[in-house]
Order: sequence, then C-alpha cells, then structure tokens
Amino acid sequence: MQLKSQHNSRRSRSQLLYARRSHTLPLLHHPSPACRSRLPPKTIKSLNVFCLAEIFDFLDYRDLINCRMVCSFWNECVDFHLQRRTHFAYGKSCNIKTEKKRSKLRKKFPLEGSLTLSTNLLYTCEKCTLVNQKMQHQEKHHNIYRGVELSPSPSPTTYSADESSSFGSSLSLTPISSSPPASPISSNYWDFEYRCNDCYRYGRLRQSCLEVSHVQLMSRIAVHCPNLTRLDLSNCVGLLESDFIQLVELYGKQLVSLNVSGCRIDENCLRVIVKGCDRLRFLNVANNFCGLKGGCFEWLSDSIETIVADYNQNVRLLDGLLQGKGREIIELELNVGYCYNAAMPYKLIGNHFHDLISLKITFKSFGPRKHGTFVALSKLNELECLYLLEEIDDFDSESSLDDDSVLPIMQSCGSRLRELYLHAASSLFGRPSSLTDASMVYVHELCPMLEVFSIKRASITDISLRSIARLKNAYSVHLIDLENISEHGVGNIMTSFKQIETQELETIKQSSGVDLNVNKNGPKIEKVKRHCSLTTEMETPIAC
Amino acid sequence: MPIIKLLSSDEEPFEVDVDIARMSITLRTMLDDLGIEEDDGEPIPVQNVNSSILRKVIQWCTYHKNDPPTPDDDEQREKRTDDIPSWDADFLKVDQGTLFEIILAANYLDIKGLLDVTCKTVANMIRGKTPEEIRKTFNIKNDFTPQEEEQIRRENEWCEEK
Repeated sequence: MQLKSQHNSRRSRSQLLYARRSHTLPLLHHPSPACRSRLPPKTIKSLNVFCLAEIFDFLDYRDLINCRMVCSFWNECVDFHLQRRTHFAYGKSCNIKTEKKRSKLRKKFPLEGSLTLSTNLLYTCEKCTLVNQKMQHQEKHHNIYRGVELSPSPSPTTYSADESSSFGSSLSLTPISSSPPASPISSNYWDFEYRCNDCYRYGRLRQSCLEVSHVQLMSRIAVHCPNLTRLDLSNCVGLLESDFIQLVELYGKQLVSLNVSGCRIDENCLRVIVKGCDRLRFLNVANNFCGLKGGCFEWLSDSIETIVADYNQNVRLLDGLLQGKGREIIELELNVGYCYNAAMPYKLIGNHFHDLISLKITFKSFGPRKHGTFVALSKLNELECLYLLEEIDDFDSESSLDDDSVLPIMQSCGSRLRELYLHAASSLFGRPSSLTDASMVYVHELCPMLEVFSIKRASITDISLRSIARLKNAYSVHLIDLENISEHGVGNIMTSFKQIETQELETIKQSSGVDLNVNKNGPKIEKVKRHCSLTTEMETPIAC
Repeated sequence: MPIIKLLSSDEEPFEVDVDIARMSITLRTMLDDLGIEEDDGEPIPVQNVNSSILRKVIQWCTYHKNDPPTPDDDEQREKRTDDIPSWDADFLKVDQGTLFEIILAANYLDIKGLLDVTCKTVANMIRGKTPEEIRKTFNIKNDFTPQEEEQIRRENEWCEEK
C-alpha cells in the first residue's frame, strides 16, 4: 500500500512538473537534473535551460551578448530566452500588449516544422497583420509578382485614406512571423508585406526585432519577382553578408533603388552592395547598427543620386563620400547624431556637395544653444527642397535652429526654394526656440517660389504670419505648435488663403497651439489639431 | 501546527510545518491534489534534493514564511538585482556548487522567491564580465570553433551602441 502510494505520488509529481513546464519546453537536448549523477559537485553546467533563463532574466542585453559567447549551450539558451523576452532592449519600453498578442497568435497558429520564421523575435502590429491580410487577398486577384516594379508600398496615410490606390512602384519587405498563414506549404509564405511605418518609426522599437532569420530570402524573392528594380529590405535585421552577396548576384544589374535601413550592414556588406549594384540611384543605409565608418562609400558608382544615411561622431559618412565619387549626389538625407563639432557636417555639405537639389536633415541638438550651426548650407545654391527637422531627447538641451542659420540660407538659396521645412524642437527646461520674426518676416521676399512651407515650435508672432500669408505659390502651409501667435494672426492667414469654411475657423480659434494645414487650392482646411508638446511623442510608440 | 515529513534524496527525513512546505508550489500542488494528510506519517520523497540542500531550503523558507506573496505577473515586475535582502545575501554566501544546487532545488520545488534571489546572485556574478571572465568564473570550457565564435560576434555586432 505504501509502495503504491509513493509510486503514485512520484508519477503525479512528474506529470505536474511536465504540465507546468511543457508550454515553454524548448528543443534543446540537455540532460535533466534527474538523470545526472549527483556525485561530483554541481557547477553552472548543471543548470538546465529553465534555470539559466531565470538568470538571464536579470541581465540586460549587453550582458546577454557576452553570455552568448561563453559556450554553445549558453548560446542556445540565450536564444531560447530571448524568444520569451521580447522587449529586452535599452530600457523601460515594455510592450505587454504585443507580447500577449503574440502568445495568442502562437496558440492560434501552432508552429510547424517548416516555419523557420516563427522562431524569430519579429512581430507585427495589428496594422501590419491587417495590411498583410489585405495583401494576400489582392495577391489572389492580381498577379502582382510579374511586373517590373512590383507590389505597393503605400505610405501610412495613403493606406488609410485609400486602399485601392495602393499599387505603387516598389516592393517593400518586412518579414513577418507572428501571423503565419494558414497553410504553411504555400510557396508564398513570405507574403511580401507592406511596411507598416508605425512599427518601425522609433529606433527603440526597431531594435526589438532582433532575429529575422532569412532562410534564403533572396532566392525566394527572386523566384517570385525576377524583374525587381526597387527593393525595400528595411529592418530585416537578420540578413547577413551572404544574403547581400546573393542579392547582388541576383539583382545587381537591375536594382535602381535599395533600402537597407535598419539592417545590420557593415562595411563589407556595403562594399558588396555598392560594387555590385552599378545602376543604383537610391540607397538608404540609415539606422544600421554597425556604425558604417564611411570608408566604403568610395566604391559608390556614378549613378547614385540619393543617399539616406546616418552621420555622427562615429559614422563619418560624408568624409567617406568625399574620398569617393559621392559629389554627384543630388539628394541627401542625413540623420545627424552627436558630433563634437555640431556645425561640421553642414560645413562639409556646404563646401563639397554643390549639386544638391534636396537636402533633408534630421538632427539632434545637444547642450546649450549654438548659433549659426547651419550657416554653411547657404552655399548650396541649387537647393529646391530643404528640410531641417530637429529632435531633442533630453530635458535641458536647447534648439539650435535659429535666425543666424536660417536667414543666410534664405538669402542665398531662397530664390529657388520650393519646399521649406523648419521644425525646431524644444525641451522641457530649455528656452524657447530662437527662430523668430527676425528671419521669418522676410520669407515672402526671400523665398517667393515656396510651394510647401512648414514651421514648428518657432517663436514667431503674427508679424511673420503676415509674411507667410503673402507666399503667392504656397499650396500647403503647416503651422505647428506655435505658442506666440494669436487668433487674429491665424485669421489673417485664413483670409489670404481662400475658400475657408467658417466652421473650421471656429475650431481654430478655440485652441492656442495650432497645427494648421492650409490647402490653398483645396476646398477646406485639411487638418486642425491641438498639440500637447512632448506627449505626442511619448504616446505613439506604445500604441503600436 | 500540523507537520509533514519530507524525505531527501539520501533518505534523511525532515519534519516541516505544512505552511512552510506549502511555500513550494510543487509540494502544495501535491498536498492539494493527492490529499495527503498531515498525520499520515508517510514521508514525501523529495527526489533530486539532498539533505544538506533541503536543510538550506527549509531554513530559507522558515525565515521567509511571512513574506507577502510575490506578484505573479512577470511582465510588470521590474528586473532588479540590487535588492537582495541582507539576510539572503548572508544565507547565499556559499560555494558555487551549493548555490547551483539551491537553484535546482528551488526550480524543482518551484519556490519563486528563493529562485529569484539565487538567480539574482548568479546574475550579479555574470554582469559586466567578458565572455572569457564568465568562463573563468564558472569554469566553463569554450567549445566554439574560431569560426563559430566569429559568426556569433558578427551577429551581435549590430547592437553595439555607438
């Protein structure tokens, strides 16, 4: 009797243990503690994958990287652990919603042997899944993989506005994992999906899609889309050099546009790409995690016209471009991070890239106010579009977009400018922007051709608004987060841009910080929104 | 106070308060599911845990028996390792072998608090160390080929903050 009961309890306990653990049971062949001899003293090698995962739970990502390098078993364990831990990254952002959603999805679509992708960390937001379903639907009805320029890549706005117009001109790829299709045998498993900009707009989120196993991604694409000329591989973090070599072999002679932003591109990869793709006209290498030193840009072919990239203390992109053949570039988009000499990148641009027609700079301001940072850009006489978009991360840095910079630029390049974006930023404790009436009051004289004008968080008053109202060619004017303008000033703009509906005007009068988008030719104001400074930026990532 | 008997893997019996035994989820489930009576006199075998470790575990549980229950929701909890209570820190001043045995026992018996505090201790031993230092600390053999090591290094490179 006693024996029997003991036997019973032992079996039940093991069943219990199994039941408790089975949902996380990995495919790792490591002896369980039960079947190991107890005689030698225990070492860390005695710990099974669950215990190690518990330990790894308390480590941050940098330490986990070191753990991966310790031995092969730990390497597997870290991988396993990371699958359970989606948002490890650099801080507080913990996307519980997504995690829950993922586990739900996993239950719904149990992992199949062939679905190598499903072990990856990447997940899509609700929107992506929706878009993806739509895409699959369209795929059935249109043979979209046959054309020269393939499937659509709508911007989020066009997507939400009009889904029928989503047939664009390029293939945008973001691998999916959390929503495998019902039939895993389908050769279209890759489901070339629209990129959901909302998911990846934020650097931190981007880092969370860690492993995108790529399993012959390139050859798979090639089967479906042999004639591809534009390829968007943004955020495919798992692509390795071998994949890019394959890419070049398959598409090197035809690719016109390549977006590898957010991929792990090191100099070898980039060298492979720029040497192999000699018809490339557009190249996006922003947000790569390896810190391209820039030396590889000397291989750039003459055909390249547009580059999107990072520039900061470590990534000396421009220096690299100057050594090579980058001077023919007509369109440059730079994400400028911290530079010891804040004005340096703009000096380089101003002195060497005379052919630039469009320049978009997203920059971060650090520390106290610096005057005239952008003065050197006034040497760019060909400029037609200029975007200066400022970001401030910390609490007390101050905006460096000021009159000293903007006035000289308008004086020398203003006559050709068609689009001008001056988005200043402000931090919690910093002084208000020093972009004031002193420069903006001349905007209608210096930049008479302006068609699109956007200004954000500047300290301008109604005096400048009067000047803005006199822009003859403007069809789109954005006034965002301007604290010092009055209702009267806004009303003034309203009357000069015709065909305004009175109802909308009422709404504007009620708000002080106005985000106003006036469309001169359109029937009404497109957008009236009240902005609470800072909060918008903090809310949006969570929404994803 | 009702008492139950536990039997370590080397057959040494222990008498414990039921309340203390119930801190282990594994034991609690057993007691609940199997309806083991306190006064059965039949010891519950705790395989995999030898007497010296079981003694330590019971010692820990006895000290912590009045702790508030830890929240279940793992996702909400902040992962800190600098909050080990001083009694626990002293309690865990043991050789590595014992420490790992306690972890295994805590995992097997499913005692969340003990597992957490021991894992934090080990995590503190890992933090800030290079792979080579970690290997040295725990006497682990590097079984990567140079090629594999290079491959992992390259895979990891992208996340190095610039």
